Amino acid sequence: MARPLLRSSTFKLTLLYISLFSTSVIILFAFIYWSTLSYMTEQADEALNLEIRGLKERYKDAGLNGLTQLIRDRINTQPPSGSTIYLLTSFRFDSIVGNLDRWPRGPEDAEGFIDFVLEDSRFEPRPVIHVRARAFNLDGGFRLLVGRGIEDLFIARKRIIWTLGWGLGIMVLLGLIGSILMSRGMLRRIDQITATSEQIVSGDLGRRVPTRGTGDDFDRLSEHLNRMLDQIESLLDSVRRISDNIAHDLKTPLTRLRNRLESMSHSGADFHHHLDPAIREADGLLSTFNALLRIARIENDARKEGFSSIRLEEVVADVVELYEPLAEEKLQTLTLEQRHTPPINGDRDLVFQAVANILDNAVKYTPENGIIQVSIKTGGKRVRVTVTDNGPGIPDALHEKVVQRFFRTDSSRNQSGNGLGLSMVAAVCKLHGAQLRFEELDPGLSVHMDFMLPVVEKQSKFADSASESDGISTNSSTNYANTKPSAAH
Amino acid sequence: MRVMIVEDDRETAEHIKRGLEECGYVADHADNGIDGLNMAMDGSYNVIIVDRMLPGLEGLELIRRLREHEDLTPVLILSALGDVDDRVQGLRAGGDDYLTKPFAFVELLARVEALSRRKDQDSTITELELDDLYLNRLTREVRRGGQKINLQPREYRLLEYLMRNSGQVVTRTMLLENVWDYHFDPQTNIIDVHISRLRGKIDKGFDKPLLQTVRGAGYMLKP
Repeated sequence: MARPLLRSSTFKLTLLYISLFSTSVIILFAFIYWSTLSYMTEQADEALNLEIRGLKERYKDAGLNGLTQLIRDRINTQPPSGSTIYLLTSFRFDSIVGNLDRWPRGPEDAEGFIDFVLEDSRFEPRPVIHVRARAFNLDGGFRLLVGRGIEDLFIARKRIIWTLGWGLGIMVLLGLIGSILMSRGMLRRIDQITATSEQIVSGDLGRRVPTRGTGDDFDRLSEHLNRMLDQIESLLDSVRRISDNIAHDLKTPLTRLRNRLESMSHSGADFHHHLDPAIREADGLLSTFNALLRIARIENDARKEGFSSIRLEEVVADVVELYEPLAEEKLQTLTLEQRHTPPINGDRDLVFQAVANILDNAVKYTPENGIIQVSIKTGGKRVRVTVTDNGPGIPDALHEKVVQRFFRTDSSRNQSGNGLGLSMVAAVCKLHGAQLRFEELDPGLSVHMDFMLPVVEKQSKFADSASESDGISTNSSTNYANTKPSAAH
Repeated sequence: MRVMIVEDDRETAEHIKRGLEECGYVADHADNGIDGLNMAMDGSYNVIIVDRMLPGLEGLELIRRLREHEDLTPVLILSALGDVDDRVQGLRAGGDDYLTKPFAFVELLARVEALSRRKDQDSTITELELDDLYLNRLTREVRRGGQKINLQPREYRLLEYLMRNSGQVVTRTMLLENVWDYHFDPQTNIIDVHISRLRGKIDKGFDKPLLQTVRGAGYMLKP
């Protein structure tokens, strides 16, 4: 568990985040530290300077005695815990007056400030007092030292560092715990997906990635994966079913063909009357294969190279005209109701094939004297082609099945046909983005094909006309005009 | 009549060659695209049959190069790729007709015959005659034995196509492609019904039937 956790990208990300955040916290605290301390130092220095100015004035007004008196007063009147330090010495550093035993050893800076440490003799154990003082030369060679305890400053510094340390520590700790929990959670979800895919790889196609129902990112990903798996499973199912069906449906004619050939080989010179049925059988097999291949090609083909603007009403009228004599032979009434419809984008031959297959079925299954109505009309953004007959129809439950390859209803088994007609229709509709719908009537069947009208692409038209009118355009601008419409598709 | 076959599958090529020779054609064979192109440009052939997937030079490329040399010999494309798009591509490349494998030999023969006649066919001929059957392409008048025959527009086009190819087998697919102008697989023998209607108009009541069914192949109009 430890290795995948340390290697998990979530964990790495949170570590990176923690270190970035810590750095910025340290910078922030450093700034606070620096500005607070320098402010406090300034305040202390200001107080010292004020005191020194007062003492200097007294020295000027009242001389050494006055100054000594004042210092003594100040020492005596300050509270026991008071922390102002005074020391007046001669030029040889001999103490004259003050509450400090001797001149401190600390280094003196250019302005005379000295930082040093005192041990407070009033308490045991002796607490250490940090002092900041300023030395000053008076006229007459006397030296004056005024200092103040700056414990506040040290306490503040300690507090800031303490706060920073603990804050940072807690933050890193919480961040680490959070990142471990987060990575664990992520890893668990990913492990679930991995486990599911492993089961699928090993052959259990029914497995699905579990979802929590919270609609989070992982749920969305899982749902997508599951939908993909559903699609794959149904495709595999259909492949399996198709190959089963092919094997089954082709075995019968192949057996018949084999039997014919066998009897031809037995019948000596008199084999000619077996020849034609054998050829017909082989032709039937070939046409079944051709239809299968064609459907597969249409289903897989997204190139739509044969597409152009076609008039559905013309194509439908041609189909009706082609089938009219056949319907007439069966004494059926075949009518065409058409309105003027806008052109659609499609493959003329394939649409003809689809409509012909539907009409072929209608003529085939509708009994003599039946009525077959073909209509084409526009509604909204669609053009609908409908073929309605009053034949036996197809039960609702079978509407999805009839478009499967080789599927035949019980009533159609004794009719000629290869069971691929409606599969072809479905494939053509799918290629055209058209909706195919069966409607059970009492009695009869309506087959609707809804073709979408093309969306008017003003932009691409504009680009086309621009490239046409600009006959002497340079190569680069021609390329631009050419790429634009394809990008719009 | 000389036919050039460019086909890499030996058995198919032999089958076509033998069949054509039995019907009185002289047939040559090349098994790759480059030889095929050279032979096609050297010899004077009436029809060239080209397979699409060829070693050396792809079938469509062969046709394109042939057309670049302004060689307008009719080309029949053979292909295992039976899709509409492929046919469109083939015809765009300069092919004249397209036949999908597998095919019946009679279908191929009928198409080769139609293509070999294309060159010397004159579309300016306005009157077609066969025995006592007469068709005027300007007035669309049809008569047999002096007797006027009323035909529906599609029946007229059917008869016109048959008369233009008279004495020659015309397959059902050829009729669909040329008379109806659709490339598709009819589920039923829908063409037979149209033919029998036409037959009812031009042959019924006359001693000598002109429109004949060729078993396993198609139809033929002959005196």
